Amino acid sequence: MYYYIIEPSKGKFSNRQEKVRDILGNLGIAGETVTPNSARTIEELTHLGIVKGYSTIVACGSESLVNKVITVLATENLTKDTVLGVIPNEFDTPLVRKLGITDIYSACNALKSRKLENVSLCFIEPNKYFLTEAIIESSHNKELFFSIENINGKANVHKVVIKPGLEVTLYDKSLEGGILKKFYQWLFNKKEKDIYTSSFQTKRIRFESEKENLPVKVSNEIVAKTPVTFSNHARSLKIIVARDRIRSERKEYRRNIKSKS
Amino acid sequence: MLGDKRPAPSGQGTIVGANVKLIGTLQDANDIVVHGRIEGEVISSQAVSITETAYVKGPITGEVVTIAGKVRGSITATGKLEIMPTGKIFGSITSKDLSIRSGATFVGKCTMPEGEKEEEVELEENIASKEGQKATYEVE
Repeated sequence: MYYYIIEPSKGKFSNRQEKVRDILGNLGIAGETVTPNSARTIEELTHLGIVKGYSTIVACGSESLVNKVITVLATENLTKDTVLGVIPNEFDTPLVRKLGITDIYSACNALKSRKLENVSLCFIEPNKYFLTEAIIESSHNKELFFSIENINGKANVHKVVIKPGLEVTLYDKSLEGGILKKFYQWLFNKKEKDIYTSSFQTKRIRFESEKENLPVKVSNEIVAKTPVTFSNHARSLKIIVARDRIRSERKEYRRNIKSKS
Repeated sequence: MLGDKRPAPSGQGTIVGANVKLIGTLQDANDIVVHGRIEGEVISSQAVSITETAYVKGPITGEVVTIAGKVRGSITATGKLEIMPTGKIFGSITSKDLSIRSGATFVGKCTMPEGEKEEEVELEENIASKEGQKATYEVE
């Protein structure tokens, strides 16, 4: 029933594989475990899991691994009903907060309880999906053109962040200013009102840059280059979330309110 | 949601930054804040705020509309329309609740639907009372 794709252990996560296997065994949800290597890529292993008819494919590792598994699930899982589970490496990421898991034990417990939720995926044409965020970044402000259904736009930006649900944020370096401006702000403890950042939500957006092709990064990996089109695929993947997700969401909300005040 | 024909009131709204230029219809069910330049229609079922650095060339529709920048086009506010001291409007405005601050520029026609209704009722009453007076005179 469960098919685990476990990323090879590195550095601080070196004893992870054993730990995960132990917890899964204790919970009684052990299944086939595979590890990507030079002979078998993450995409191939995910494809194999779908072909073998596993109902749950669990991505155990970094966000990059999760996004690669998602891409295969979203493209090949059109007729089958395979569910995605996640045992992340790090627990302070937006994805993990979205899933409502707090540590390796709660991630494994969530797999056991199998509370499913339909999530929206962002699609980068022609063949990449992601659940976390995509970033188009440059060291300084660049002229970027974008088009959305019935709008054409031009913006001076140095960073574009695209989040699930296609929430787009355009960051402008003008707000930061030069050394003098920073010194003045530090001296008088004054903060300039942010009138340069743009944010909106849409269903489909295309970015083009005039002079050079800017890279699109997902989980610090270049997956595409401008010109690039993003679209939102609403509720297109079933994912396992923590049973007490609402409680952890409330905690998060309270923490945000506290930090704002 | 930007560009959505049938928007649903969810999400955080739209903010157009100062270094952004848009051409087309900007439509959102949530609040819209414009710091940049727009050539086209701006439509929201909630608040629309045109800040000091903004320039809009086209009609604006919203529930509560605040203008601190420059607008060339008609403005329709179903709730309140406020023109700030730095606001400049060249076009007609329609609102039932209007506030124009000292220093603001407004060149155009103003329509207040509620006020017009009141005026019509007053006119009708005046006519009726005059006809009544006339009738009394005839009896005498």
